[in-house]
Amino acid sequence: MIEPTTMISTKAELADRLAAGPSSTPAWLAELRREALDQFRAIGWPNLRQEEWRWTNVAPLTKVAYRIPAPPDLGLPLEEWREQIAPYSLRLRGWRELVFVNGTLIPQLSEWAGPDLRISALSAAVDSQSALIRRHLARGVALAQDGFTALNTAGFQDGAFIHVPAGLQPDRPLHLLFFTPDHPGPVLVQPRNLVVVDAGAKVVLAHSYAGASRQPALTNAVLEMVLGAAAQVELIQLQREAAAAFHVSNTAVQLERQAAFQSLTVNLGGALVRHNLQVRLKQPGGQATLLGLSVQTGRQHVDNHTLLDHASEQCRSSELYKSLLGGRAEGVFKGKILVRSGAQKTDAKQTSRTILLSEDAVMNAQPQLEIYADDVKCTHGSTIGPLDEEQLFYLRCRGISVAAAQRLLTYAFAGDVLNRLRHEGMRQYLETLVRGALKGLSLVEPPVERKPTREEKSTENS
Amino acid sequence: MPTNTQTIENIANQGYRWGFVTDVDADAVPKGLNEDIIREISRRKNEPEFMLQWRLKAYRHWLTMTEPKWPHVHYPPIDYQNIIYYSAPKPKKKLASLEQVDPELLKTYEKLGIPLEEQKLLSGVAVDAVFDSVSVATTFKEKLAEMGVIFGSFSEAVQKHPELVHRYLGSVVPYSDNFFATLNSAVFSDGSFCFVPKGVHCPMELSTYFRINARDTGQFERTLIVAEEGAYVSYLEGCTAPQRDENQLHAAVVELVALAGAQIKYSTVQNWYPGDQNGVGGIYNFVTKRGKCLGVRARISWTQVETGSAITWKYPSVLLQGDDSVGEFYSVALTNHHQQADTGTKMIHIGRNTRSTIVSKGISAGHGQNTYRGLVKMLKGATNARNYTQCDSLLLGSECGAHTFPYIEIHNTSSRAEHEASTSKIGEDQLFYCKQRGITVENAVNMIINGFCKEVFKELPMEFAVEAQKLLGVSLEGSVG
Repeated sequence: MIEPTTMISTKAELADRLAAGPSSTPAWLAELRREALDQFRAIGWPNLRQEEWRWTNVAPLTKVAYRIPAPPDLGLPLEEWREQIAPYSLRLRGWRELVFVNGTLIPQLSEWAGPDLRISALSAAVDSQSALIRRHLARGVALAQDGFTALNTAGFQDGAFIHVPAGLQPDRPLHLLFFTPDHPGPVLVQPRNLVVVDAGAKVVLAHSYAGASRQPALTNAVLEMVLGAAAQVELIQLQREAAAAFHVSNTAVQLERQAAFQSLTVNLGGALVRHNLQVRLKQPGGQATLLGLSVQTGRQHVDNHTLLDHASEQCRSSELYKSLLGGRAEGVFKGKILVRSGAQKTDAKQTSRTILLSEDAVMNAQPQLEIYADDVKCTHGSTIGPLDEEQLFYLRCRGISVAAAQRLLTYAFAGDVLNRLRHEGMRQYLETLVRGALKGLSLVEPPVERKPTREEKSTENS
Repeated sequence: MPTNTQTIENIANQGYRWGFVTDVDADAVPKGLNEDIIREISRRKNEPEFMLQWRLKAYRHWLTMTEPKWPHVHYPPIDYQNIIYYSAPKPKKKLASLEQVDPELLKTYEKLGIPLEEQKLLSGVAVDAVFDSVSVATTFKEKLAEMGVIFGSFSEAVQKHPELVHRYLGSVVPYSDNFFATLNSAVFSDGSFCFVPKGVHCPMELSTYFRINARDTGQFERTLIVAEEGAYVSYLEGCTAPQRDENQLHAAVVELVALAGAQIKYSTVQNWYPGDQNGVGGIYNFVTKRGKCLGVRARISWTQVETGSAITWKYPSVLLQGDDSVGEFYSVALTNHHQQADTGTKMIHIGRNTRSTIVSKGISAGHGQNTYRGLVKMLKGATNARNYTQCDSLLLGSECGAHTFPYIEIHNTSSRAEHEASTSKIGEDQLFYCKQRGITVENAVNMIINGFCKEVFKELPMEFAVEAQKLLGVSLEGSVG
């Protein structure tokens, strides 16, 4: 193990370390990993000069010498592990749950019984479901996209493989929990998930990332999902990493004819967070709804990149991302709607809204439309500003304190996103979490009444 | 709608009306770019030493730069050594009156519909016509001079008011700003200069027509407008260019400086040769335009109608430095056939209570690619800043593209930024409604497009508003089907 304090040329070190990794995988997978490794060696970490990364500086996370943690030996009694993951577990709420610690599936902590779904660790399924996995793995996320996807493909530890057979509508939702316990030094965890939902199936899936590490830990997750014709998926991503953690996630979803996809990405933790979510509407009639909510404080940096790729006609998409920023938090939103040539009758709508609650908070937004078809309806809107003074005033007039009024308004702002979640249980769960997070926001002093400027006066007179 | 399509195609394919070449002896330097060429340009223009040094500084910096690749446009590589950097119609004599101007040239303007003589008497518009690179006629100068307004060619200003040029040149767009602005700084041949002294309300709309004429001549003009405290000036810039096969590079720089309480209104109608239906030829219009609201309550407003050029790449910007200053940007950009446009604005809020408004209308037809790219940045000290942005795109035809890439960067909590964008095609129901009432398709489309652009047109001075509507009509008027 490398001492955490030793500064090393991480890119090369990492590459070497991964190259020396497990070689027992099937030949095609070994080949894929090798290719990805070469790609990572070639492109390395992203930097601010790259357009996709102009607002997110990943330099802090590239300067850390990571160790790739061994699977936990479960030396602790199982009860203690249970206790550690309890705050993040959804089992008591009736969810099936797969618990990964350090990127490795721990069956003793998990419960996914049931004859319907095909669920297993990806590493196990590589042998038993080889054809299916080979068809879909690394097809949604391009290796060349950035260093993170290449790094994950080259060195992912494990993750879930979920196959929902045609027409199946399991009654219990499924939760993937990735937990990074405290380590003596920085660690790199790379989960990789593959979800194949066949035609007509319907599933609710959550994946959440949590940690207890006091050292910088990097979670570099990839999730690929394929929706068959008329399949329906509700995907919830809950990021509650430790305060010092780095989190990068790449999610790629592909929709066949008439499929419907809804996602919600909630960010409550982490120091430096980046999500890439790309949804490709491959066949006519697809529908996608992307929702996002970030509550940030301290020096947290959260970057949401989304791409809605309308590759076929008559698809609909709508997107709503909201951020509440306090302290010295930085938010980034970049959402692109891409309408390819021939994707006629596209109806796409994108909205991003941010409330800045502190003088030192920063928001950068870039809503994008890239359209190569004419018979389309595409809109985007983006607003950034403080809490509405009039709304605050209205509440204060009615005897509500400034702090309570601000809590009320921020909660309503967040509730607008959560209310769109279809799964009742998850919605209630998230509402509780978000309410807790809102309490932690450093709220601003009540705004001082501002005198109209001379310019404004003169325009009023004219 | 086969019949409709046909009618519309006929209209959309109307030739470029203003394509003609004037035969004037051009006094040009050899092709290529090196320090000697720059010295030669400076020598021919009889410039003071500081200008030569500034040009050389820019040229040396340019050598270290690479051509930017980020815009959403595609074009074959430009050979910068294959361009004539200076070309002037050969002066017959010192020009004292219009009668001495080359009759060929005057004919050109007549074809363009600029009644130079008439304007002198009737319209109250002073025209500083730039033909290729040297100003050949300036009217109303004396009247303006009475009020202390300096308006004329850049070269003249360099001779007569070097102190003003020295003070403001490069103060908004520094010589090192970007690849094309730096190239311009090194080789610019002429342009317009305008100085409005303190408290003067410029009595007439100032206007300039730029034309690119001699073959292979990149036109690198440079405009500098300074409005002192409380001054007001409205400046119009209109362009048409003759039909040529080879691409011509146009890399201009415009700098505006508005001191406290000053107001500058800058309007552009750009109708350079866009290339033919197959995308052959046309002008590359790579322009840097920027204004600086230096003092409190200064106001800068850009209005542009971009219908020409094979590639338009420009972002008229405003630095809102003074408290309570205001920046505005109104734009109509039209791309037809194989035209590409990557245009928008930058509003940098530095002072307190600064406000900006952006209204951008993009129209794409044929294989045209139209991109709005804009930056709204509010710095930490820009408390109570306000921005409103609206970008709408209209798509005519299934092969074209419309793109919106706004950048919004907010660094304080009291500011508000709003951005809205929409993309759609002309509604079938709107067309149907008009046709039902006996309005032909081309008229209906024309009406709808003019309605779409109305918010921008109403910002244009009267003379331009009329021309702009006609231009849209000719350049497009349909492509629905």
